[in-house]
Amino acid sequence: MTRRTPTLLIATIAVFAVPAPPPVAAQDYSLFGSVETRGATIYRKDSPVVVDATLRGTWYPSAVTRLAATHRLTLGSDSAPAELLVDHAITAIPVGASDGDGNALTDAFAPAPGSTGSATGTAGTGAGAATAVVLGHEIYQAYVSVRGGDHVALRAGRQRLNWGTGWTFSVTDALHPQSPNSEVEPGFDGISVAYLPSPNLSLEAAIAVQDALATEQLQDLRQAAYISAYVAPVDIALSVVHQYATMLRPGIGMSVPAGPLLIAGEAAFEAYDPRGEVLNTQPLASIGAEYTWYGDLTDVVILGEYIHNGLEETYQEPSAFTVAVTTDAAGGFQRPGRHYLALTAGATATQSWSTEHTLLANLTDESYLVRHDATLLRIPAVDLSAGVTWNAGAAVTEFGRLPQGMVVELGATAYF
Amino acid sequence: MSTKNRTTAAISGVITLVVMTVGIAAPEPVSSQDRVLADRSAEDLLILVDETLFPDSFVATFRMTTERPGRRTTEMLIENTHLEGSGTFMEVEEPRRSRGMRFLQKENDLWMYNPRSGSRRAIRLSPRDSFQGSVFSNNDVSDPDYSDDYTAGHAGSATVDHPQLGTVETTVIEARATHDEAAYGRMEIYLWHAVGAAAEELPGPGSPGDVIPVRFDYYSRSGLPFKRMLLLEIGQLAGATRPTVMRMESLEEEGAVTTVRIEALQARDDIPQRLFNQQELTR
Repeated sequence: MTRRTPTLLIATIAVFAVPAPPPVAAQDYSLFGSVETRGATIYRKDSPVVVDATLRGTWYPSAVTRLAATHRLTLGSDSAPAELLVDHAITAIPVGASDGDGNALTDAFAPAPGSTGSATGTAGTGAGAATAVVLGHEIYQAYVSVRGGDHVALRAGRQRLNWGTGWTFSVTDALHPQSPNSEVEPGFDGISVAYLPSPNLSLEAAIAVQDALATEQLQDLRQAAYISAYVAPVDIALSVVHQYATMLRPGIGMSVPAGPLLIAGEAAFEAYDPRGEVLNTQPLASIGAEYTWYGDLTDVVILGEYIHNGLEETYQEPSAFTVAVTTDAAGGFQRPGRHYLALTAGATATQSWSTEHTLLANLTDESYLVRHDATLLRIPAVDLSAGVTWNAGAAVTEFGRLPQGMVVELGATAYF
Repeated sequence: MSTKNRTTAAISGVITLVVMTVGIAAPEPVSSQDRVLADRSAEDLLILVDETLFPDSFVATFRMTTERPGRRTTEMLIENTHLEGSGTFMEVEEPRRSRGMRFLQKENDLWMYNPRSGSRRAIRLSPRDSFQGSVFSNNDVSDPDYSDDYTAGHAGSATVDHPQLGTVETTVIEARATHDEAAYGRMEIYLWHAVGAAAEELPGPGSPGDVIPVRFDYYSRSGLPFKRMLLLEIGQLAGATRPTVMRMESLEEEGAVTTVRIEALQARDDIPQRLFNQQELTR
């Protein structure tokens, strides 16, 4: 898949620029973000998945510094307010922080900035390893939003819609790039219109342009519609995503509290098989339950979710050596397994400490990705964290084919 | 028994007899508080409580400080927007770690969205759970109207030692939950009729109905008392006399106290309904 660049984003905004409000002085500007630095030691598997046999079974160091910021500029009049939002991050990796094969790593389980392999679908602009540090720049959102009265909002640029009721992946969501291991879920490039007739109902329509810009084919515009309603106490969502000769995916989602649990499920049918350009309906579904308890001293969250991927046969090739999942011209939920299970257990003592443990299992090929995190929250505006990520599975499996067997990290994050 | 002991016993007996006689023959006289408030229905008084605490629709800034023995004191600054009939939208301004975190309350449901989490999905919270580790529940902070969830009855009178007003006589109403999702099984609300010398020292035009709640006792569904809130620093906010500080004390954890100071409060009738749509929460 072709990796998008900032040029694409600029083009998107230029092509789909909405009628701009008259130039006025900035009414309100807000900025918040964080600076994070992490050091890691990474274990190369003693396995054929590590190409260089001399490096198998060895450890190597890695480090990354990440500056993330969200800028919000409010403009316009009270009757037609406008907003410019930019949500982005810059990463810096010392040259020495590589995997020993000359590949710099931001995260052992995510693609490096500037890599040309399968990616999260956002704009990587990393420089080569010849400089002292490898720089990466990721734009998660960058859009202009204009309101028309109290009920209508129009947006142009890279953006995210509040989509889906599933936790781990949204099987109905073929609009947004999906990357379960990305720091932030990135947006799609395009325009959207939201109509909010009441506080309990919203109707949204969107057109994503990234594929059309890549192929220069107007027919590769992807269209989506999303309706969400709150009928106390149930959240209901209906959606459809369409792209000519590529996909047609109607879906439904629902979440409902049941005692101490929140139960949520999604179901979708992918009607189109682009291999033969024929209709070949395949189901996707997820069902999960979350238990949360927010006590005076400690919060506890336990989550379990099963995901059924009916597209396993349609798209048999996994997304290279990463677990990044992208919306591209082929699918939108492109994972190699038919059955997945996600489990999470976490606890937080307010402004004191937190810990989270997650398991993502591909039940089809019996491979597993596990992460443990602990964070000290006692210093105001600074987190100190430690994490261990490891995987298991045969060398041909989704997670077993990762060359990094274990990553041990220490980090600090300062918020501003 | 010695003479001294016999004398002591006799005195004790007389005192007991006097107390019993007074208790039976002369019940506590109906106070001026009772006379004024007893004629008003408890349901009306509960509505007055809602009106006194906050305007129908408002934008407010709360500073919330939580102290617990042996733990670091925590502080939050929250922007709170409430539109009557639509819900409450809150955004955390401080601490920096939580800045941008948003809450949306509608009917009996509550969602939280943290833009720093990297997810575009809001988390659903229980109204009864603790709000961000404080002694307040999620519902206490997000739903300013008690009359929606409770039905009230008169429960006599009592004196309350109030740091600002001194010892004042109050009328007590008992509010019982009307549905299972309410945060508390029962509440006792102590109402002070703002008349007399203490009232004259208060600034401004007075509260709606001149009835000011000064204390809440909260009971669980099983009937156990587990929280107590004192309403302090009665002053002028949004054109009326209201408490500006709410001090919630845990009766289950000794020394655990959360204080909410209302730093700003503005009655507003131009709050857009769209703010209370879930799609707005994550935009």
